[in-house]
Amino acid sequence: MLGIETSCDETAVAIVRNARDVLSSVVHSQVALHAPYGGVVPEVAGRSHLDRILPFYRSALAKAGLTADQLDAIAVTHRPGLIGCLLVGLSVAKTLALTLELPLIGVDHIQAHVDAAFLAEPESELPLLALVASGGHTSLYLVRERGHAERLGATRDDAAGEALDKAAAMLGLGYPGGPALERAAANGNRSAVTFKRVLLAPDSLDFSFSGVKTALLYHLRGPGCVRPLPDLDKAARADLAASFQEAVMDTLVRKLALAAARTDARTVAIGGGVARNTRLRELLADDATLKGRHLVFPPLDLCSDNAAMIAGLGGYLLAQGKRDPLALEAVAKGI
Amino acid sequence: MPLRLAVETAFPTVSVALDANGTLLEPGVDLSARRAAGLHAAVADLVHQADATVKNLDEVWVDVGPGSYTGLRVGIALVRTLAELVDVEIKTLRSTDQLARAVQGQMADHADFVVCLDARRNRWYCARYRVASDGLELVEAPTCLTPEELHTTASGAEAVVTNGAAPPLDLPVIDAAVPSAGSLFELAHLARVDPEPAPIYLMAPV
Repeated sequence: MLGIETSCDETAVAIVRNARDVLSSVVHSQVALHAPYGGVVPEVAGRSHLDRILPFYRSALAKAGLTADQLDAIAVTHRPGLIGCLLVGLSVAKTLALTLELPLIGVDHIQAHVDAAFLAEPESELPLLALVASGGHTSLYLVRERGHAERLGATRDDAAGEALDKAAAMLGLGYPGGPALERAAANGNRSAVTFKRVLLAPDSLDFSFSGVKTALLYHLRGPGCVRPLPDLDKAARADLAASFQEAVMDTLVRKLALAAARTDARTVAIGGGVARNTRLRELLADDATLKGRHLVFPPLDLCSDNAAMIAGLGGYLLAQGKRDPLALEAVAKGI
Repeated sequence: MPLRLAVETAFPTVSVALDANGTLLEPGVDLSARRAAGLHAAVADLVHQADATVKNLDEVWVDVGPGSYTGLRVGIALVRTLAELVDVEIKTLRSTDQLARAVQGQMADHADFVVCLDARRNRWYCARYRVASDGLELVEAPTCLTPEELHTTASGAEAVVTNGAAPPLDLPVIDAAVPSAGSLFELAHLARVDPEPAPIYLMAPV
């Protein structure tokens, strides 16, 4: 199964055998292209996808030691994402399917993040509870049948990664903000400032990160933003980065633990770019509620956007009989 | 006779056509619905009607703009991927060529005219053409201009051809119909062979 992923700012192609063996996975990150703008610019992303997608297709085949006529099917992210970006991957995938006379499988990007647990550990037991946290998404899912994730909760405002990015910008840590904040936090005191954990109603599995982001802003500029952003020394920035990161990661873990307590999940997994965060992984491993359940921390390259997860889920869906028409649509929203 | 596919995605109306041994097959439907989701299926239907497959194609003709950025990328991604797998010759034309061809019959011999398309942000894509004795001649390739620059480029032209909003020029305006993919085949003398076609953006992405 050849997989294609172009939903946002990564151009990725991968080949996966039997929905579990990654034969090749190539990813081009557009971070450097978007860095001058402090965020993803859809038109910049779309142009880059068109430039990179076919060279990466060739590279994926070469790394797998395969030729196009040895492929069995084409999987492609068709939702959710930036429409102009999704359409580039879809056009390539449809043309490959049409020309090679292969089945086309449309894959939901978020379902694929959840499904990455099965690429990391194919024998993961169901039900599986998954947290997907990235710059665009923060949601909890319960999987009773592979490929069919049921959403239990989602952010009501900012995604966790978006909050981390914005906090990093406030602290002058650069772009992409999440990794920059994590690097700064490594030398900071995570108890220096206690940011409130916004948990919403006691039984809610939804998230909210706009409040903690505003709390950091008010901490820096005073209530109502009456002061300019202060010049912080390195130590002060590190303390704020560590404290802010702790608030976000602790909130994610508490919600995941609450969901675990309310379900019969045997496996708990994480996915999305925020799942690369070391502190999140430490907190999850130490959480008492999650002990006794099998934790799946996919390798870092399976957490951020990649095409192996698309080909992996696509392969599974193909085996289940799924086929999509050439008229498959790009859709901005996901499950 | 070669089997030739044409892809037109630069305009709000999207279309494909197939020249099968001299017979033009054109669905005659706008494929722009649902963000041109039906484009590839329409290609499949056309080659099927010709008792062929895409692997039998000899040439692919494509409009590379200027025009809808997203539309251009969808069409060019299709064409590039086809060329990756099939030994086809790719021929490219400009969207302004298409509009110029549409009004050529309304222009006097040796007349100069400009073709303008709204580029948004108060800019215009503009190209200049002349009706020559042996067909349409491209005098100035498309560029992206401010209204002030537009006046200079259009100086001495007899008309302005557009498709949609009229540019701020004191010239007779000819509103051309949206061109179809099939009309690309009528522009052979302006077509360029390009194994790796790229969109004509003319504007920075931001």
